[in-house]
Amino acid sequence: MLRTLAGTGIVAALCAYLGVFIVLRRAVFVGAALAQVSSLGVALALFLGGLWGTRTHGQLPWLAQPLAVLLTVGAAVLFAVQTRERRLPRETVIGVAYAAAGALAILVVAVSAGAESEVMNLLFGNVLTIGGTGIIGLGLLAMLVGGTHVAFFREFLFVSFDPDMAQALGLRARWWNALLFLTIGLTVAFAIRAAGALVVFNFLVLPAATALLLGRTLRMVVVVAVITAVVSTFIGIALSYVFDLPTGPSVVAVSVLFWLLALPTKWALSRVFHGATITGRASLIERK
Amino acid sequence: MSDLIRFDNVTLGYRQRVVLRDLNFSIRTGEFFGIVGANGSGKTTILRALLGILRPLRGGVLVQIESGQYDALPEGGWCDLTTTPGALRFGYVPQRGFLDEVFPLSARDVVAMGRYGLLGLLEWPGQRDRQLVAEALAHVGLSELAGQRFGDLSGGQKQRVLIARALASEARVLVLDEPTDGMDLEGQRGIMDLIARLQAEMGVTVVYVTHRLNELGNAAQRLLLLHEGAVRIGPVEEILTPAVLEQVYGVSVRVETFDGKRVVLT
Repeated sequence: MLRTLAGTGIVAALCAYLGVFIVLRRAVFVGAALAQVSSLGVALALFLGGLWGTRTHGQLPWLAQPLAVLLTVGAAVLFAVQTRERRLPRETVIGVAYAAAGALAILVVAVSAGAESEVMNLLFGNVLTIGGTGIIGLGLLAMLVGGTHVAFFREFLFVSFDPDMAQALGLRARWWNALLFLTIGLTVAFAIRAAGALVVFNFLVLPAATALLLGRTLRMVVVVAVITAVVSTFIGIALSYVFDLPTGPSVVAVSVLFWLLALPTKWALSRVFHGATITGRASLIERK
Repeated sequence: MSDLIRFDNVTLGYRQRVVLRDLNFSIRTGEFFGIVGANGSGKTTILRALLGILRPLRGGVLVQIESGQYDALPEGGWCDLTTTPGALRFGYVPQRGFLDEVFPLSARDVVAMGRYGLLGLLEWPGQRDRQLVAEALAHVGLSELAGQRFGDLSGGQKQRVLIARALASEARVLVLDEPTDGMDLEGQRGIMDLIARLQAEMGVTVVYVTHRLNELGNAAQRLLLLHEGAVRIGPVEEILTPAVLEQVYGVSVRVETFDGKRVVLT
């Protein structure tokens, strides 16, 4: 139980932070597509394991994680560098990747020798399957991705907000975009094994959406997103334990509830600050 | 005035699609240079080449590195030039509609981005950076709105913030892309006055891109006119003549002077 809480807590915090970039860049389907690509990596490993006769029932072949990471990071970087293609909008390429990877994963599993009933679990991960080494791996991932973002937050923000000005000022926008998406790809590849595709997609979108309703500054948005994700995870896991519900959907349901609560909260906050806004605007008009 | 930037036989385009051929013109130190053309005429393409974002298909964009000496656009755009002291630095002011208002950034945050490219890897903004940001906001008259959310500002205020960001980067060339588009007369006048003041007080070179000919008739010193592949370049008084305009646009025009200001009428 403690391992599950710690693992999903790390995944929640990391994905919620990265989700702020994903939502601000209007690229929410990147998360869904990367989840499918990661599953394709696992499916290919199952297929190859069957071919080589090295598969153990109910367990993933050792090749699964490296293949999933490789494909996911590759797809993430492709999504990043593809942004300037004029004929095909980026979301179209993401959609193609989503459909192609999802279908391929299922087809590859279907033709794999000795397909198992729990294959969907193996493909798409599960909240309750985190082992001790999984926690250490997630901790290292959090340090790597967190450290990269502490060091290069300014660059990631600038190329996300205004890539042309960033380039005019000497920042290599393509490289920084690629590095940002590489951290997203790496996180998704590991997070899916730990928390499942649905939960990871939820963490990449809903906490950031809630935080953008409530926070006025970027710092506040990041803090609210991370706290919302971690709290909804713990409440979701507790509810699933007490009422014997599936864990992933319980976590997602709590995240959705937070988002729904954020809507009236935002309305109430705007009512509280309404007077101040009017006064501010009036003084602006006067100054003109 | 010496040439600050030169386009030498430059052909521009995307992959194999040529947009503009054999461009030969220069932008002089401290001048107000206008680029006028309809949507799709190649204004933005020139601008991207100027900023080093788009590499020419042929020819070279040269910049003055010291008096009388020019260097070609380096590999990777202006990246290599901006880090050297006294290097030619561009302050790009994009169309404000291109920036996503969903970003929860204050006016100060946006202006501070002007310093980002000048900081070293892993270097954080220091006292001098903060001071330059505050001074840039003061130059455009927005000190009191520094903490206001960028997305909540009016069109004119957003444009001032973007100009302040260019100033914060200690740019020697201000490149403005349709800065008054979608503004009312008062807003347009405010932005034009601000640019003229910055040019006079700070000696910056201004490159101003617009599709409205009359906007630059009284502000620019030289104009580059783009229309369906045709290019005309020269001083405003030579370009804004019925003969040239009729030749370029193929319609009958009159150029009148009211209250000392030049106006093109169709």
